[in-house]
Amino acid sequence: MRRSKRFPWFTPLSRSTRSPGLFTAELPVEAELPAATVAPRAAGSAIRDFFDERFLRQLERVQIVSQRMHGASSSGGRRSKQRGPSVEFADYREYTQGDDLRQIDWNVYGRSERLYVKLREDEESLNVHLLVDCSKSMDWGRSHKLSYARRLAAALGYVALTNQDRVEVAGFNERLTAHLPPMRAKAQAGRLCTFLAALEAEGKTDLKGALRTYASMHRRSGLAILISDLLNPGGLEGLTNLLDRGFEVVLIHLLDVLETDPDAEGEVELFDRESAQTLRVSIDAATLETYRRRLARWLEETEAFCAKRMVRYVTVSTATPLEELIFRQFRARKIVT
Amino acid sequence: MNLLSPWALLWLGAAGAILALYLLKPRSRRVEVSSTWLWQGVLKEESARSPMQWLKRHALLLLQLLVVLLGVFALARPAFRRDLPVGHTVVLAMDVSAAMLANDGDPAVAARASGGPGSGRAQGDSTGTITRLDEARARALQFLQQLRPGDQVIIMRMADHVEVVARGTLPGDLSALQTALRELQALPAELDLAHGLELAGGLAQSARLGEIIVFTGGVVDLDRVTQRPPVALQVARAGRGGADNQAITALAARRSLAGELEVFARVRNFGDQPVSGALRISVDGALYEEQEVSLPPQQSHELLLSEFPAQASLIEARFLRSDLLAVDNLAVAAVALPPQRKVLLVGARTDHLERALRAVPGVELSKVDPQRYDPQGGYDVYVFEGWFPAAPPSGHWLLIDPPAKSGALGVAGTLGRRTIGGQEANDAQIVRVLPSPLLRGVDLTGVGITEAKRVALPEWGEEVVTAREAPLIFMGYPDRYRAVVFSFDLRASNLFGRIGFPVLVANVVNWLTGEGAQSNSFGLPANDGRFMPGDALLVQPLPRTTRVQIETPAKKHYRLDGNQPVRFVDTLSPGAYTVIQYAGNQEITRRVYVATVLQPGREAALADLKPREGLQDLANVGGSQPAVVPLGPGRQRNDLEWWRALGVVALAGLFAEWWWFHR
Repeated sequence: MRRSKRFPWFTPLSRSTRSPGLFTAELPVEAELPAATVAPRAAGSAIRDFFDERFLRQLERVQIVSQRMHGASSSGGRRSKQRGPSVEFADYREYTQGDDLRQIDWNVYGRSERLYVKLREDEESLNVHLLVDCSKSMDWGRSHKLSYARRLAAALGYVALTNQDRVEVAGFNERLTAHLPPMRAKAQAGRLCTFLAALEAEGKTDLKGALRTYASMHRRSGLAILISDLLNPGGLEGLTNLLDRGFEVVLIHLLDVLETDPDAEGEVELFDRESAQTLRVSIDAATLETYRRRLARWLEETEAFCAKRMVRYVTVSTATPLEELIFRQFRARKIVT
Repeated sequence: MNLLSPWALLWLGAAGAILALYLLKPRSRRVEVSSTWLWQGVLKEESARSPMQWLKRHALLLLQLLVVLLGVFALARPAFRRDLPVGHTVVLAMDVSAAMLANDGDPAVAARASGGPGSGRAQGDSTGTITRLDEARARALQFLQQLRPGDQVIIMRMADHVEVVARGTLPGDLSALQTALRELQALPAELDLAHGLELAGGLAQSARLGEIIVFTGGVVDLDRVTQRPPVALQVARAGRGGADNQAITALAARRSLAGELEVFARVRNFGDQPVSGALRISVDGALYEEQEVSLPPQQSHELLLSEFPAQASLIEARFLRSDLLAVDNLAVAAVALPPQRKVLLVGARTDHLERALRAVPGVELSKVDPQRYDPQGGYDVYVFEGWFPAAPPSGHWLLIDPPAKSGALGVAGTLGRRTIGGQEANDAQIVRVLPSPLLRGVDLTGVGITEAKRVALPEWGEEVVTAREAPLIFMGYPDRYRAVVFSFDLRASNLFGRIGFPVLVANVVNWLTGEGAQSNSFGLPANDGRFMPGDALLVQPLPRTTRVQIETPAKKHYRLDGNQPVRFVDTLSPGAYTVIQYAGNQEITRRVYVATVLQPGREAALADLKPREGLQDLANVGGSQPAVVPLGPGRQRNDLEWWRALGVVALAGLFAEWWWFHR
C-alpha cells in the first residue's frame, strides 16, 4: 500500500479503471429534480435525470479522497489499480446489495445460512456516508439549496459507487427523515438518485440530534460527507458525535447567493422559512454591511471549529456549477482526486 | 426675546402628525429568508451601537421634526427688543393758498435760508418784498438741513386741492427736494387744511416715525378741521401776522329791465386800521370812474353805478392801495350778452311754442312746414312738432309729440284717460319729476296731460318727467348732438297757460345750445359765468361753429378748430376768459367767463390775513413758537425679527432630509 510521505495516514485511493466518458459535463445549475416522492425508476433513467452522459463520464474519472485508513476490517472494497487483484483472504463481512456475487462464501452460507463475502488482503474499504440536510431552510434560495444538495450528493455518490465504495445516504432535519442503506457498485446509482430525488425539505434543523442518532447507528466509521446550510445555532457540536465514532468528516456548507449578498432593502419583514418566525428590520447599506461582516465571522468561526477537529470544511455557493465545484474546487481541497 | 405671533405655535401639531404618520408608516415588505438567525445577530450588533445607530435609523424623522419645529418657530415671528436707529418720515405740508401771497414775510428768515439778504423769491409783488410763501419756503429749506441721513421727506402743497409734489430720502434726494420747494407757487384759492391734514396723516402714518409739519400763513378755516392726524404734528407759521388788507368782495354787472347796464361793487377793509384809497372802475379796459373810498376797520363800502356804454362787456374794479395782498384788490365782471342761436321750428301747431321760442334771448327763429324742411339748413336747434324727418338733423333738436312712425323713437300706442276695472284713470299724468337743467325755475305742480305717446325710453335717453309707464319728457345725446323729447302734444296739456312754460322752453334751448353748461370741475353750474381759478372751463360749441377761440386774462389765445366740446384747463389766473365761436370767419357768439378768487360768501376765508387763533392748538408736539422744533433722535425701540434666519435653517434641513432620503 502506497502512503503519502507528508501525511502518513493518507492513502491515495485507486483510480477508476473505467475509460473516460464521452458525454458532456455541461450541467444546468437550476435543473429541476424530480420530487422525492416520485416512484423509483430504472437506474439509468434516474441518474440521467440528474446528469448527462458526459458529466457522468467525467465523474467516473475521479474518486473521493479519504485522508485516513478506516481499518482493514472495514467494509467495502476499493481496488488498487497499481497492485492488482489479490487472492489473500483477510476477513468476512456481511453481504450487501451490490456486492459481487462471486465473492460470496457459499460454504459459510451453508453453515450459517447467512450471506458473507470474503475480503481480500489488497482491498481497501471506504464507507461513504452522504448526509443531506433536508430542513426547511434548504428549501430556499435563488438556486434552491436542497436541489443543489441533491445533485451534489448524487454526484459524490456516483463517484463513490463507481469506485466500488460503499455508499450510505441519509436525509435529516431535526432527526433522520430518510435513510438509504449501504450499497455498492455503479449499478446502484439509479437507486441512489431515486432516493435523493425523493428527499423533501421539511422541519427544523437539529444537527446535533440528527448526527448523534446517525452515529449511534453505526459501529464502523467511514467518510461522512455532510451537506448542509448549517443554519442551526450550536449544531456544529453534532459533528463530535461522528468524530467520536471515528468518522472522517467532510463538511460542505451550502450558501445561496441571497445569503451571501441579500437583496432586501428598506423596511422589511423577514420571514424565517424554517421557523416561520418574522423579524422586522430596516435594511440599509450599513445594515447589509453588518450582515456581511457577521456572515464572514460566522464562516471563519465554523472553519476554525472544523480545522480544530480535522474536519475538512468547504463553503459552497449554490451558484457554483457542479462541474466547477467537483473538478476544480474539490480537487483543490483534496476531496476528490 | 418674544414671539410676535404666538398663535402660530399651534402649528406644532404638525409635528404630532408627522410622528403619527411615522408610526403608521406602510406595512413592511415581507421577504422570505432561509433563516432569521443571522439577522437577529445583526440587529443585536446594531442595537449595541445605539444611540448613534438609532439616530442614524431615524434621521429622516428627526430631520422632518426639526424642519417643522424651525418652520413653526419662524411663523411665530421671534424677535428681540432693541433700540434701532430709524429714519423719520416727515411730511412738509406747504400752504400755497392765495393768502400766502401776503407780503409780510420775514426777510431775515428768507435771507438765512438762501445765504444772503434779498435772495428769496418774492411772488407777491415785484418790489422785492417777502411773501409768506417765501418765508415758509425758507423755513422748510432750513428744516431740510436739520434732518438726518435716512430721513424721508414728502413735500405736499395745499390750497383748495392737495398734491404731493416731491418725495425723497436724505441726503441723496436733498437737491430734488430743495428744487421742489423753490418751485412752489401760490395758487389763487383758499386753503383746505382739513383735506391736507387727512392726506398728510395717511402718508405719515404708514411710516415708522411719521411727522407732519404744516407751513402756513395762518389763514385757515379751523372750523373745517374736525380731525387731527394720528401722528405728530407741528405748525410753522410764516408771516408777521399782518392784517392790513382790503379786497373787492363783490362786483356784479346786470342789465335792468329797461336794458340799462348796472354795476354793483363792494370793497372791504379786513385790517385793524382805517384806510382810504381810490376805487377805479374800468369798462372794456377804459377808465370809467375813480373815487376815493375811506374804509374803517372791518367795514365795507358799496357802489352802484349805471350809465355805462350799451356795448360794455367787461367791467373791472381795482382798489388802488398798497396792502399786504394785491390779488384781491382787483375784480372783473362780465356783462352777459345773449348768445346768438339760430332755431328752426318745423310743423308748428300753435303760436304758443313760437312765442316762447322768440322770447328766448339770442334766438333767431325761423319757421317752415315739414314739406319744405331742409336738413342742411345750418340751424343750431331744430324744433319738430308732431313730425320728425327720416334722418336726424345735423344740429340739436327738440321733438314734441313724436309721430307714430318716427324712425328715431319707438312709439307704441298712447297714454291717456281710460277705464280700468270700472274706474276712470289717466295714465298720462305726471308721476315723477327728476332734477334736470331743463326744469330750473320751472314748477310743474298742477300741470295736467290728457294724452301722450307711449314712447320707449331710448338707450341715450335720460328721464326728466315721467308718467306711470312711459317718459313724458326726456333728454340725451343720441349722437354728437343733443336732443329733448316731449312725448305729448302741447295742446293736450295745460302747459301753455303756465307761467313756467316760457322758462321751460328757454331752458331747453339753452341746454341744447350748451348755454349754462359751463361748470367747474365738480360738475356744478357756474354762477353767471364765474368760476374758480384752476377749475376747468367747459365750452359746448354750437353746431354751426367751425372754430373756437379762447383768450385768457394774460391775453394768451388758444384756437381750437371744429365744434367738439372743449374742456379748457389753463384757468389758473384770475380774470376774464373770453370764448368766441366762429362759423368760418364770422364770429357767431362771444361769451366772457370770469375766474374769481373770492367766492361769494367766503371772501374772509382768503382776504382776512390775520392768523387764526387756535392754529397752534393743532400742534401736538413742540411749543407755541412758530419755529420748527427739531426732531428727536431717530431711534425707536423696536422688534428685531429673526424668522428669516430660521427659515434659512429650515430650508437647509429640508435639503438635508431630501439628500438623506435619496442618498
